[in-house]
Amino acid sequence: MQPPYVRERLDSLVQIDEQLCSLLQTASQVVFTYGELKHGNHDLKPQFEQHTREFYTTLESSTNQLKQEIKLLDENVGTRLLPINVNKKALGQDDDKLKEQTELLKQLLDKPPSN
Amino acid sequence: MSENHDESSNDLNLVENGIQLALDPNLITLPLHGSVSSPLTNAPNSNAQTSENGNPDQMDVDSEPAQGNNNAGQSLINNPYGLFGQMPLEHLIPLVLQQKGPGFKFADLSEDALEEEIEKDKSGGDEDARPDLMDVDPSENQVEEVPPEAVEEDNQETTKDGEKEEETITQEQFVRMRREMVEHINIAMNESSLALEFLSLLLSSVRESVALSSMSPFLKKIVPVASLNSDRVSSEPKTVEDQLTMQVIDRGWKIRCLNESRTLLKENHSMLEEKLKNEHRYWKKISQYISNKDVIFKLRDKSTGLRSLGVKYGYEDSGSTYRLDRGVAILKTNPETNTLELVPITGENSPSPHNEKFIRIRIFTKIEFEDDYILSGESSVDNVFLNSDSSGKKDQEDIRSQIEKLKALIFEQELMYQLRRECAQLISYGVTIENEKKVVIELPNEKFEIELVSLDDASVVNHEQDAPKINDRRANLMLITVRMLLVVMFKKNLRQRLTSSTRNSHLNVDKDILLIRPLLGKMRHQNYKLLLRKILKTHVLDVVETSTFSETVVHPPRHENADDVNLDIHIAKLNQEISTFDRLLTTCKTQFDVKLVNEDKLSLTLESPNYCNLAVRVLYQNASKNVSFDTRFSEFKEVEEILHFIVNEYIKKT
Repeated sequence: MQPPYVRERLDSLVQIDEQLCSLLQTASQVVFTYGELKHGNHDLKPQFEQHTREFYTTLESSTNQLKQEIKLLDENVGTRLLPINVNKKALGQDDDKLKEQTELLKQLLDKPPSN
Repeated sequence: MSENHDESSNDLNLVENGIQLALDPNLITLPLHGSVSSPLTNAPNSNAQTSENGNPDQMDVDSEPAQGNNNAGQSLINNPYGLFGQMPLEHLIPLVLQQKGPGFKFADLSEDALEEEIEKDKSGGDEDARPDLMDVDPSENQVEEVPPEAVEEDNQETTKDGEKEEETITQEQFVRMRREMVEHINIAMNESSLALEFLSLLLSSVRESVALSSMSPFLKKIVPVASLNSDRVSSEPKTVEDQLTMQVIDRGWKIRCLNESRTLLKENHSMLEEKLKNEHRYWKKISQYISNKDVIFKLRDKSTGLRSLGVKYGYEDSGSTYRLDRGVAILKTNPETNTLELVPITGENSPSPHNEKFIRIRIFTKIEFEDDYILSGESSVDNVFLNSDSSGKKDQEDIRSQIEKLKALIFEQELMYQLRRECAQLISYGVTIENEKKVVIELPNEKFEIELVSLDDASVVNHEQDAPKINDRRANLMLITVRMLLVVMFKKNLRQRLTSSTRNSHLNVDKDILLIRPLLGKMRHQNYKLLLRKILKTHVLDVVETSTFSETVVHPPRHENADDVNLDIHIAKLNQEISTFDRLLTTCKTQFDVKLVNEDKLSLTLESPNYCNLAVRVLYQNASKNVSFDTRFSEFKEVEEILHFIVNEYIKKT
């Protein structure tokens, strides 16, 4: 399980992803209303305006959030993150195994012999 | 063939020659007087019409030279057919074809037809033959007549042979050359007139009157004057109706484009949303199950070529030297079940991929008085393997348990690998490899089998129902001990890596691999002890009265290294951890002290150098007689003998 901070960041990135993806949908709506306007359906003008506004606000908020995340990433370099790429070593697995086997041994020895 | 003119010419010939002879080509080459110029002027026509075969001019030309020839009277002896026979085939065949007229194929020429023709000839006289040949003649005339005077002169001197040769060379060549020349001239004329037309048209935009004068009537009719300059072409203004329809079409296209882009955007949106959902699920699971202790790294999936995350579960960084399986797995989502999976990457030489195997130790006890063994104990299957096997739905996605399982599996694999390597050295101590996969340790009354068993092996699946056996516990203890010893090996390797700069990636079987030997050594030592006790009893205790003996296990002094203090904390820790296993790893040593009546001392030290060998040191000191023995033996027989000797010679005599 990752620490809550990391999960928070991941969730935030998920949100940004979703916003950026929803941009496409808004764009398709904008195009649709524009097409209707071209058809001569002038009642849709306010809707067109609303969609366009929505598009821009979503774009702005998502870019802002993304900037925020990048800032956080930069800030965390040196504290939570290493500034360079390091090959992590799978250390301590020997100890884990030893512990596990000792535990097994304990269980076995605690149990009275069956015969 | 046109019969009328043929006949007329024949008549001429008949009249003039009086002799019916096929026309000899030679005759034609003779100087001509009256008609020198006529063939030249006629040449183009005749050339084009030779195939048509009915040119009166030609006839004239041909008939006249025949006349002249008659006067000369020279070549009449010459048989014209002889000449044809001398001609090469490639010249003769065209001649024949020409003679037969257009539409005739050489392949159609048959003996029968020829015979028929000859018959006809005979009946109809020479009439037919002559005109045919005449058709060929004009070309010959033309060739020879170019320099009339020269030919005239030559004619008297040159032999007929020479003339013949010249003819065969020039006859057709000339025709061909002339045809080519005419063709070229025609082409040139065409080109130049085309160029003229083009220039006139180009000029017409600037100076119309001048241009018009050099234009051909055809061009004037077809192309408007000055049309090469596009600015001069007037465009018609569009009608209102046209404009309206254009506008409608424009709008239609625009709306259609808008609709299409809308559907495109929508489709991509839904597709992306789906992908994002999968991605989020993936990352959520990873953040949920992967701890900071796990080694995660980026890698490229070889099968799909996509970037993905890898998990390192091997013991390589924890001191293992096993290289047949690097212990790396890819974290990926199974497209079918939509669950996160760990797929181990198997190298080319890794043993049997996707085979989940664990180590099982079985103990067989020898049946008394029989040469057979009975299974008396079996190590149980590790919980790690069982859990994942019978895991409920809850655990299905748990990467943790998958990692644990993989770790355990690779550990078992390495353990077996090292066991087998050690085994190769121990054949003389009853350790063998059976069927290339089973390590068998044989002792006088017992037999141990260590083997890698697949998890879905029938004997494992049905294991639960088996009744517990006497030696189960022992087998389990043995297995745990062996595993611990492997960890100790890892630790030693780690220590070595830390302390020396050189890395040995391959373990020395003699020195480094200590798995079976400590265990086997202990067991053999126990057996030696039993034997030695028996020997002591029969040779000393039973013989010498009031003697007792005591047995002490000698442990090596625990070396508390003072250096440890100065060492790196990690090395010190490793040292400490390794030294906990010293008892197990050092060779056994037992001392037997026999108490005799007087001050004499008799002690035997049983040692097992190299874990499995035997060494007995016999020490005897007799203060009164000032005798002392200190000898080492490697066989019990000798020990028996020396004990017997000591007891008889010294102890009993006192």
